[in-house]
Amino acid sequence: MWNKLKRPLQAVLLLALVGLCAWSITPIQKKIHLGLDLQGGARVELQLETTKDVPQITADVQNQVEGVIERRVNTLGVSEPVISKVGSNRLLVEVPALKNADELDKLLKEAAVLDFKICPPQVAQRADADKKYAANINGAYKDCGPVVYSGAELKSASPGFGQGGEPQVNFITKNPTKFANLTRDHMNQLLSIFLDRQYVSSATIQGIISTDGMIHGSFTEDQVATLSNELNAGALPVPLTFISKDDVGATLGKEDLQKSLIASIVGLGLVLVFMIVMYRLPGLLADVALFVYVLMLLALLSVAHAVLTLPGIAGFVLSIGMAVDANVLIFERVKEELWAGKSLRAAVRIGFQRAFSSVFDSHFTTIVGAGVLYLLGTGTVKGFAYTLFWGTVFSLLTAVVITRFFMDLVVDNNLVTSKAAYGAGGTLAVPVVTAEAR
Amino acid sequence: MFFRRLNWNVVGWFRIVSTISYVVIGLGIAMMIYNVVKTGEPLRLGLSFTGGTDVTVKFTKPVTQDALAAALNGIKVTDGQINTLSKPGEPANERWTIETQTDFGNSSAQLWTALNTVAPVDRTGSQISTVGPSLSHEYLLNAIKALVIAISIQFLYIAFRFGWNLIFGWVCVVALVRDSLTMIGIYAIAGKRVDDAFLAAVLTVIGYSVMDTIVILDRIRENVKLMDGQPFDTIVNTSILQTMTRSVNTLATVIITLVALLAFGGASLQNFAFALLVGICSGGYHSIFFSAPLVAVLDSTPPTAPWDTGGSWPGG
Repeated sequence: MWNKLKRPLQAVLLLALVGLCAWSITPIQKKIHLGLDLQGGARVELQLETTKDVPQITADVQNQVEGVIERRVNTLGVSEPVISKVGSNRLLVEVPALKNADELDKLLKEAAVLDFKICPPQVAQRADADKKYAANINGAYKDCGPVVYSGAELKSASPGFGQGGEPQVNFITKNPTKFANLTRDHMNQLLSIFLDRQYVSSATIQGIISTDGMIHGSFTEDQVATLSNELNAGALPVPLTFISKDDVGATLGKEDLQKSLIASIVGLGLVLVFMIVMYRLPGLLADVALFVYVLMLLALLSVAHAVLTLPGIAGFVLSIGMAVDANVLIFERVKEELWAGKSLRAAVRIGFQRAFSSVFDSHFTTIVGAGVLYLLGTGTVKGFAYTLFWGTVFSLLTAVVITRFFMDLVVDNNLVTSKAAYGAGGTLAVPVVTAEAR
Repeated sequence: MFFRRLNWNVVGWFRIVSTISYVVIGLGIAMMIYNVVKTGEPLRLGLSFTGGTDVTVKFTKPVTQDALAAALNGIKVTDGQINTLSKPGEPANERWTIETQTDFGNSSAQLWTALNTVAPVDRTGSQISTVGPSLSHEYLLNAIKALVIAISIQFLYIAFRFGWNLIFGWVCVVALVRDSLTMIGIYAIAGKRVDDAFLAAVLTVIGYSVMDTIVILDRIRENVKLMDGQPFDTIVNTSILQTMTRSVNTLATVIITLVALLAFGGASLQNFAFALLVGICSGGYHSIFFSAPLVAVLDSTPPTAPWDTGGSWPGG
C-alpha cells in the first residue's frame, strides 16, 4: 500500500513545493529586493560620539538618535529608507534611489546639536556683526559660558510671526520647570541659540517662560521654517561621524545588475550543458533539480525579505557550481557501481548511499566557511555569505532528495534501462575495486 | 571515466608537484618581502582594511589623468591612485577610478565639487565608498578572527572525520595552509588589493578544498581494506585515479561559473571571481596531486589496524 502511494505522494509534495516557490517570487521585480549597490542609493554608517554631557552612549541615546534620523530621512520622500542600529553606538542609514546624494549628507550632518546659552551682550553683538566669530567653535560658542538648555529638551517648534509681523519660531519646552527657572534666573539677559556650535541668534529674556517660548531674530520666512524643522526633528543629543559610506549611482547599479545577471545565466547555462554532456540522463535530471534549487533560493530571498546584492549574486552563481557537485559525487559513484556489474536499481541505491558521506563533507565545510563569514564579515561580504550559506543548505536537499526522487522514478519504472544513458557505457581498462555492501 | 584508463603514477610525481607548489609559494613570499622593503607592507591592503575612499567617477566628456590629479591635489589628496576604466560602447577616458587613503565620509561634497571642476560629473554613473579608520581596524580584526575561527572549525571537523588519525589530519592541514599561502602569494605577485572580498574568497576556498581532500582520503581508507596486501603506493595511486573524474568534474562546474563571473560580471565582481578562481584551482591541484600522494610519502607501509579506528559515515 505504502509503496504504491509513496511516489505519487512525493510527486505531489514536490509539485506543491515548486508551485509555492514560484508563487512566492511572482512578480519577481517586486518580490526580490535589490541591494543599494544594484538599484543605486546611499548607505551610511554613523557613529554616535560621546560628549562631556553624554559620556556614554546608552540604548536610550541610540534610540533617540535613531528616531531623529528617521524623521529627517523621511523628509527626503524616498521610498523605503532603512535605519537600523549597529552594535551599541552606531546607526546604519540606507536610502535607495536618491536624486541628489549630497542631500542626504547635508541632512545627516545638519542633524545638529542645538544649544541654548546665556551670552554676554558684547559677545552677541560681535557675533551678529562678525560671521566668522559666530561660526567658530572657539569664538562665540566658547565665549558664552555653559549650555543652559538643549534642543533635545524641546517638545515642538513651529514657524510663526511676531507682533510686528516679523517671522519667528514658536516653541514648546519639554521640561517647563527647568526652562522657567532658567528664564527667571537670567531675566533681561540674552538667551542665545547655537546650532552645531554655531551662533544663530539671541533674544532678551523678557519674562518667565515655562512651556511656550519664541525665538526672535532677523529671520526670513524660509529660515524660520528650516529652524523649526530642525527643532522639531529634535536636535541630536550627541554629534555623529560618518564611519563608512557607500553611494552608488542608479545607472551604475543598473549596469552592474545587468552584467551580473548575464554572468549568472551564462554560468548556469554552461553548468546545465556540462551535466548533460558528462552524465546524460542523470545529468538531465540533476539539471531539473537545479532549476528547483534556483527557485527555492529565490523564494527564500523573497520570503525572508533578504536583499540581493552584487556579492550576493556572486554567492548565488558560485553556489550553482557547487550545488551540482553533490550530483557529480553521486553519479560518479553510481557509474562505478554499474561498471562493477550491479543492476541499475542497486547501483542507484548504493551510489546515493555511498556518496552521502562525501556529499555531506563538501557541504559541511562550505557551510562552516559561509556561516563564519556571515557572522563576522563586513556588510558587503555578508550578502555573499548569506546566499552561499543557504545555497549550500538547499543544494544538499535538492541533490540528495529531489534528484534521488527523479532517479528512482526513472529506474523503478524502467523508463530508461541502457547503462550508456547513465554514462557507464563501454568497459574499463583498469579494474575497479568497489566495496560490497556491508 | 577518462582518468580511470590512464596508468598515471600520481604518487611518483609528488616531487615535481611539490616543487611547483614550493616555487609559487616561495615567489609569493619573496614578493611580500620585497613589498615590505619597498612600501613597508607585505600586501596591498584594500579599502576595507586601511580605511580611505574608493571612487568611480563618470564624466560627461573625456578627461586627462593630469587634470584629475591636479584637481585632487587642490583638495590635498596626493596619494590618489588614478586609473581609467573604459567600458565597451563609451568613449575612452570618461570613467575613472580613484583610490585614496583620505577619508571623505564627512566631506564627500568637497570631493565632487573638485571633480566637477575637471568636467561635469554624471553622478548616476558614479560611485563612492569610504571607510573610516576606526571601522577599518575593526574590519581587519574581524577578518583575522573569522579566519582563525573558520580554520579551527575545519581542524575540528577533520579530526572528527578521521578519528584523530594523525597522518590524514596533518595532510588536510598542510593542504589548507598551502591553499591560503598560494592565494596570498599570487595576490602579492599580481599586486592586487587584499580586502574583505579576498578574505571571503579564502574562507570559501578553504572549505571547498578541505572537502576535496577529505573525499580522496576517504577513498584511500576504503581501499586499504579492499586492496589488502598491495603496496600502499599502489593503493593511494588507485584511489587518486578512481576519484579523479569526480574531483575534476566538481572543480569544472565551479570553475565554469567563476569564469562566467570573471568574463561577464563587471569590474566589481571580477576581483572577487579572480581570487576564488586562483584559490579553487590551487585547491584542486593540491588535493589531487599533493595531499593524497603525501599520505603515501609520509607513510610508505600499508597501514593496518589503526586506520580503521576513524569515525566514519555509513558507507564511508
